[in-house]
Amino acid sequence: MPHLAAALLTSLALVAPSGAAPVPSPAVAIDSAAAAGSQGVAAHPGLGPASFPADPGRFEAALTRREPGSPELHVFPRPGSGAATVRVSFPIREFPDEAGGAQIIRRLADERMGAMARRFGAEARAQRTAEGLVYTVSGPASELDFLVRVLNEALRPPEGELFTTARRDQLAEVLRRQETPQGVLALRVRQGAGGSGVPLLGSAVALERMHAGMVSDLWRRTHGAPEARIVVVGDLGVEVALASLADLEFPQVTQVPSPSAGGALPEPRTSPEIIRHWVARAWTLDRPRDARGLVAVALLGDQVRTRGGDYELGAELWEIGGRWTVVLSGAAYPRNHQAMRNQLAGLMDAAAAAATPSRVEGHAARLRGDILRRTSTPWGYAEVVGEALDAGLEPRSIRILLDDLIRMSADDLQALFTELRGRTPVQEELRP
Amino acid sequence: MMRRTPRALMGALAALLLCLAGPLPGLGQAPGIVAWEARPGSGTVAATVRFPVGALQDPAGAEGTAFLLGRAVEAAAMEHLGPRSASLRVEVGLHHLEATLFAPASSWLSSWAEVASLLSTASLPSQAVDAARERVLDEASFQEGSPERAFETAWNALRLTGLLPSGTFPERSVEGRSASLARLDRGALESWRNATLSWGDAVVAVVGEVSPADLSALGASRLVELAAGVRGEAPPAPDPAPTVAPGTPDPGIPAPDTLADAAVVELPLPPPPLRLGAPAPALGLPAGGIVARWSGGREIVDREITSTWMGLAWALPRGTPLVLRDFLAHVVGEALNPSPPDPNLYRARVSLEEVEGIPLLVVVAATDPQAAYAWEARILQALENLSEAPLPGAFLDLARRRYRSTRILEAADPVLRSRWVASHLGPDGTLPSVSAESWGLRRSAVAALVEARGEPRILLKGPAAMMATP
Repeated sequence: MPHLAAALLTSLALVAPSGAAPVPSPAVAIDSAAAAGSQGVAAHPGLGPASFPADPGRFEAALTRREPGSPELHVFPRPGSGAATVRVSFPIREFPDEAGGAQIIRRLADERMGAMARRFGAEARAQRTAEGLVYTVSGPASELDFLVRVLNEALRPPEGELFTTARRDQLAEVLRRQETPQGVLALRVRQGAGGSGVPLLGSAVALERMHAGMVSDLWRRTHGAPEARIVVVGDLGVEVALASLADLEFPQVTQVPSPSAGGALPEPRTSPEIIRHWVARAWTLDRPRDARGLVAVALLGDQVRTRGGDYELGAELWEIGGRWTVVLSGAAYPRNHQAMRNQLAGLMDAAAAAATPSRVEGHAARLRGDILRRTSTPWGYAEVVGEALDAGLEPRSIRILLDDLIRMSADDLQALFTELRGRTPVQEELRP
Repeated sequence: MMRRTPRALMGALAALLLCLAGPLPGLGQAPGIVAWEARPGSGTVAATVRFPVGALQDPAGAEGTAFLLGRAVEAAAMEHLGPRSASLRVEVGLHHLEATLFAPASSWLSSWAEVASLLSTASLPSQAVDAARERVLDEASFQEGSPERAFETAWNALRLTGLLPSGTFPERSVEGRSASLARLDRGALESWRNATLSWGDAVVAVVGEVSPADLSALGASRLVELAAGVRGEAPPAPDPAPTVAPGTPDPGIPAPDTLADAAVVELPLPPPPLRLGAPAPALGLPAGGIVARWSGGREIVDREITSTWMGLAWALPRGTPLVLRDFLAHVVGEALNPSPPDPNLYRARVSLEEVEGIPLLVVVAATDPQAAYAWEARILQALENLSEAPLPGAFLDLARRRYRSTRILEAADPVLRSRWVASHLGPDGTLPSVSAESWGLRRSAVAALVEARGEPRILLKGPAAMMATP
C-alpha cells in the first residue's frame, strides 16, 4: 500500500546518513519551546542568487484563514491527483503531572480513526509531535465527507474505559526507553539543549499516578476549535473543502484548571546498566530551518561512513526548541572508547576539510530532491507544511529552504562549521 | 506570465515544428506513444519509459544482462541527475525494463534527455558499468543458492511453461548468476541495449507539471492526454436479489472469516460518494475462455530449508477487463493477509501478470513448513469461495471501496502513477480508469471470472518431511 510516509517527526529531513546512529533521534519528536505565532524566515543572507529559479506557486495556500475563535485553516488545491489529505493539529504543553497524557490521547484516537479508515481503504493516523497532537487522514478527494467523519472519530473524547490499557502500554514504552542508553542520553541531550523538561513519551512517575480524569481534562483544555490548525491538500476546490470541514466536531472549549506545576514528583534520573561508553555532543543552530544544517549533517555522515574501528559513530539533525540541532554520538567498549572519543572530537574538522564545492552542491541537490519527492504526494505535502506551521513558521519557509539549497556553496558550510566549532556543545555521556 | 491564448498558439506551433523535426538531439529515438497527465502547480515531473522486453531476452549464458544494464544506466544517469535534484530508478522484470525519472519541473526535460540517451545510443561510462557490476556481483554472490532465488527460478519455469515463444527459456533469475554477470562488460550491455530496446515499442508516461511543448519535444509518434483526477460517476444500483426456484435450500451468506468482518457488516455504512453522470457500465467477461495451451499441475520440490515457498498461478480469459482482474487480485490479497497476521504466514503477495496476451493471477507465499499444505489449501479455497458464494452486497461494497481508495491513493503519488500508466496503457492509447470503472464491478462478474479461471499451476519448495499431511 502506497501510502502515507512514516513520520519524520523532527521536521523536514532527519539526516542520518551514517545509518543507525548510536543515539538516534527519539521515536517521537523532541520537545519544542517554539514561540507561538508566525515567524518569517528570510533567505540566508550569505547565499548568492539561485542558479535557476525555484518552481513558482508552491507552498502558498489558496486560502488561509485565521479568525479568533475558529480553527486556523490552510487549503492547498493540488489538481490531478484524485486524493486529498486533511491534517488537524493541536498545540499541547503538558505539565509534569500530565507527562504522557497526550500519548494516551494519541493511542486511543489512533485506534478509533484507524479502525474506521481501514474499512474503506483510507489512511489515518494520530501522532504526538514536539508541538502537540496531529491527526491526519488521506483518501479519495471525492470522499472528503467520509474523511471528515474519520477525523471526527479522532476528535471524540478519550474513552475512560480504555484508559487503563492505554496507560499500561505507554508506561511500558517509557520504561523500555529508560532502560536503554540511547533513550537516556537522548533525553538528557534534549533537556540540555533547551528542550522542555517534560518528556514527550511521558514520565513513569506521572503515568503511574495518572487517572482517566486527568487525560480527559487535558483533552478538553487542548482540543477546542480555537486551538486547531487544519491543513488540507488535494484535488479539490476551496469551496468543497470549506463545506466538508464545516462538519468537523470540536469539543466545547472549557476552562479546565491546569495541574499545579509545583506539585509533581521529579522523575528519577535513570542510569541503565551498560557495558559500553556512550557519548553525545549537540550544537543548536541559531536560525530556524537553517538549510546549512542539513548539508552539514550529510557531510558529517560521509565522515562517519568512512571511519573504521570497533566502535559506532553517528551524525543526525534533531529539532529541539523549534530549532535544528546537530547531534554527534558514539558508543564504544572500554578498550577503545578513547579512540572513539578522539574520532568524535575530530569529526567536525574532518567534515569541514572535506566540504569541497562539488560535495556541498551534491548533497544540497540531493536533499532538495528528497524534499521535493516527499512533498509530491498530498500527505507528504500536508505533513511538511503542517510541521512548519506548527513550529511557528509560514509555508513559504519551505520554498526558502529549497532556494537556499540551490544556492548553497562550500563557503556557507565553512562558515557554519567555524561557527559551531567556536561554541561549547551540550555534552552528555554514560559510562559503564 | 504569458496569457493563455498566445502561449497555447506558440505551444501548438512548437508542437507542429517539433513533430516534423523529430525528437530533440539527445532525446534518443522517438517513443511509440507518450501518455501524459497534468498536475498543475506540483512543481515536479515523474516520467516512465517502459520497454516490453526484459530478462527473458537475456542471451543464453549471459543471464542478468538486462538487470545489469539497468543498474549501470542508473549509476551513469545519477552523475548528471544528482546536481539537478533528480533521481532515476530502473526496474527489470522477466518481460519488461522500466526506467522512472523524478525531477523538478524546471529541468525535467534535460534530465530526461540524459536518461533517453543512455537507453538508446550513448556510450555507457566504463566507471558506471564497473561500479554497477561490482555491486550486482556482490549481491548475486550473497544470493546464490538462497532458497528465495532458487524458488524464483523454478517458479518462473513452471508458471510460464508453454506460454512463451519457442527459444525463450524462463528458468532463470532476473538478477542473473555470478558466473554470467562476471562476463558482462560495457560492450555486451551496449550490444544488448542496441539490439533489444526499441523506442518505437516503448510507452512513455509523464505525470506532473508539464507543458505541451515539452511533450512534443519527445517526438512521440502518438501523444495521448489523460484526464487527471477522479471523474464523476454514479454509484451502482444495488445488486438485484437472485431468483431462487421454489424449494431450493437457502445457501445463506457465508460467515465472515473474522470477527472484524462481522463487525464491519453490522455497522451502518456511510453513504457512497456523491456522483454525477451516468452509472458505470457493468464489467463482464469476454466471450471465449482460457487459452488451450494452459494446463494445471502441481510440483513439490524437497529442499532442506527453514521455510516453504509456494507459488500458485491461474490463467484468466483473454480480454478480461483490467479493473475486474485487478479487483480480484485485491480481494484475494485481502483474504490472504488477515489482521492480525497469521504467524505461520511469513509473506503472501498476489499479483497480475500478462504473458503473450494471456492474463495470469499469481500468488507467491512463504510459510512455516508445518503450515504449508494448510496455506496452500487456504489459497485455493479463497478463490473457490469467491466462485461458489460470491461476496454478498455489504462485503462487495466495502471491498470495492477499499480497492478504489487504495488505487486512488497510489495514483496520487506521481511516480507510482507514471509507472502504472506505462504498464497499463493499451496499444490504442486508452487507459482503464479505476475510479470510474470500479463502480461497474458486480458480484456476478467476480464470480464468473473466478469460475472461468484455468486449473492452477502450483509449486511448493521446502522440507517435505516437515510439511504436515493435509
